[in-house]
Amino acid sequence: MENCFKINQPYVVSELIDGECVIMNLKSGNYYSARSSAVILWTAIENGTAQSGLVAKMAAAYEADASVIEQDVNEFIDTLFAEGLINRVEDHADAAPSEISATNHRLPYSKPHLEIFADMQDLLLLDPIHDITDAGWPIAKPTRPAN
Amino acid sequence: MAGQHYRHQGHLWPATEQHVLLQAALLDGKQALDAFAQWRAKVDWEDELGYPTLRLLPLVYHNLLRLQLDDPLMGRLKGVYRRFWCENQTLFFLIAAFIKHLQENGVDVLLLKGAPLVLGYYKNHALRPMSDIDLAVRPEQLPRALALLRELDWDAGPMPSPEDLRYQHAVGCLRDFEEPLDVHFHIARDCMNSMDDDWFWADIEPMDFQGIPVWQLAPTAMLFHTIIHGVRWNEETPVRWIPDAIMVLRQRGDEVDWPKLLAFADSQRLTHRLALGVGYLSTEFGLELPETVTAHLRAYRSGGLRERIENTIVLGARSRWYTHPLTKQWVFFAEYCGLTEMDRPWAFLIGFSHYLRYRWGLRGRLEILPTIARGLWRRIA
Repeated sequence: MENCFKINQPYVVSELIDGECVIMNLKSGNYYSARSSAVILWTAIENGTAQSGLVAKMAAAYEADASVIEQDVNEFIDTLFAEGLINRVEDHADAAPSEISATNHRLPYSKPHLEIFADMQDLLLLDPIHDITDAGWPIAKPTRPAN
Repeated sequence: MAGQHYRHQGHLWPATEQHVLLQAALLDGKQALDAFAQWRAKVDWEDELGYPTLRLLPLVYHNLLRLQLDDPLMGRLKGVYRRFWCENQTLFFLIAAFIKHLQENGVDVLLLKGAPLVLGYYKNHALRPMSDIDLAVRPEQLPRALALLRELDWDAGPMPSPEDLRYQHAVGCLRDFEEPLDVHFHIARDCMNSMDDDWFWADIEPMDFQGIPVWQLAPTAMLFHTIIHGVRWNEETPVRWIPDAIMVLRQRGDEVDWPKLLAFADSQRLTHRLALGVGYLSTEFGLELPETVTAHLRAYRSGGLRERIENTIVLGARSRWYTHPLTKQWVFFAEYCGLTEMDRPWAFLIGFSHYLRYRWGLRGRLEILPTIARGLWRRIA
């Protein structure tokens, strides 16, 4: 049976901002940032792509061994489960067919990674101008206690 | 920024830096980029920017990103955008359970200000930062709404007295010592009789809030509410109304019924403030108005005596009046001028004595003269 997932709504919200996917778990108060290959995976999961489709998408987009990609995708999905961001879909009839466009110019591979920022209440206490680095909130300066 | 009507910059109208930042947020192409460069050159980024300015930054970032600006500050601007996105998502999630509880128990919920603007006009959770949610219920449903709030462990305070209902417009409700919810029993603080509320309730439309069917003001009432709420002297500059009004006009300006809006403003003695707000949008952001609207507003001048008295505290430095016990009474008088419909002098005086008793927190009007006497005695002795 094919593994399919869905976003844990209404507790999880996300938005793509300038190539970065920001994700919030409103139940736990945790905030997440996904970039590069993790954005491809998150977007595909939002669209209902099955696990095998996720691997195929990554293999089509990045230069890497398929077994490495599969292992990394599985790890990434495990993290999403552990953080309560996705649920497994029992009935996979709704799974979206994975549209994979083969390309001759695959990108250098970067392992999908979910950056985790715990405790929104603490993060919101940071002054978003003066307590943070040039990368912007929620990345606090080393001198700040929330870092 | 030039012009005779920009007195009280930083309190009634945007300060110069805020005005330039608004241009960076709302204009297009080179105009926006030049405005941002000008703002960046003038403002000390390491200094305190102030909350009104901070709340404009997501919109600035959004516009500059669209214009593909390459600037080292974009990272920090993006951070502000992310922060307010999180804050609004959290606020909406927190409030949704209560709104659902109201809706399921037959209370009509009319969302005001930020929430409908975020969802229906900006269509983005980051661009319109909010610190609380404003909603209105029909006055006859207020006791039920407050009881339902308490069921969900909100602190709604005691039920407003008949005089509170007459002289106030909303109840601030707390949860976990924060005040994220204003429950309005009058839609606007400047329009507080039942016929005024009827005007707003007659101009509503359905909206979806987190999957819950609620109401929002239709564009005409939304625009009126936004401008009148914004054009007001404040210690902290009220600048948010400017992008809000522009967003309403850009998204659904063709649906605004200007004759209806002007007639209501006239009936409320609010045309002068409306003219100031619309004039600002027209002069500074190129708002194009029908000629009949321009002519109507130009002809209005500054209104009748009661409107002018009320505007001394609404458009002027309100805090100045609080510096002396005597001038403070002028604030109450001017407030009453805005509240009352009484034209006959005797009825006006009686009404004012009721209002004064309410504002002074006295048990009866017979205490007014002794209170004045005690106050004078304290000053003399």
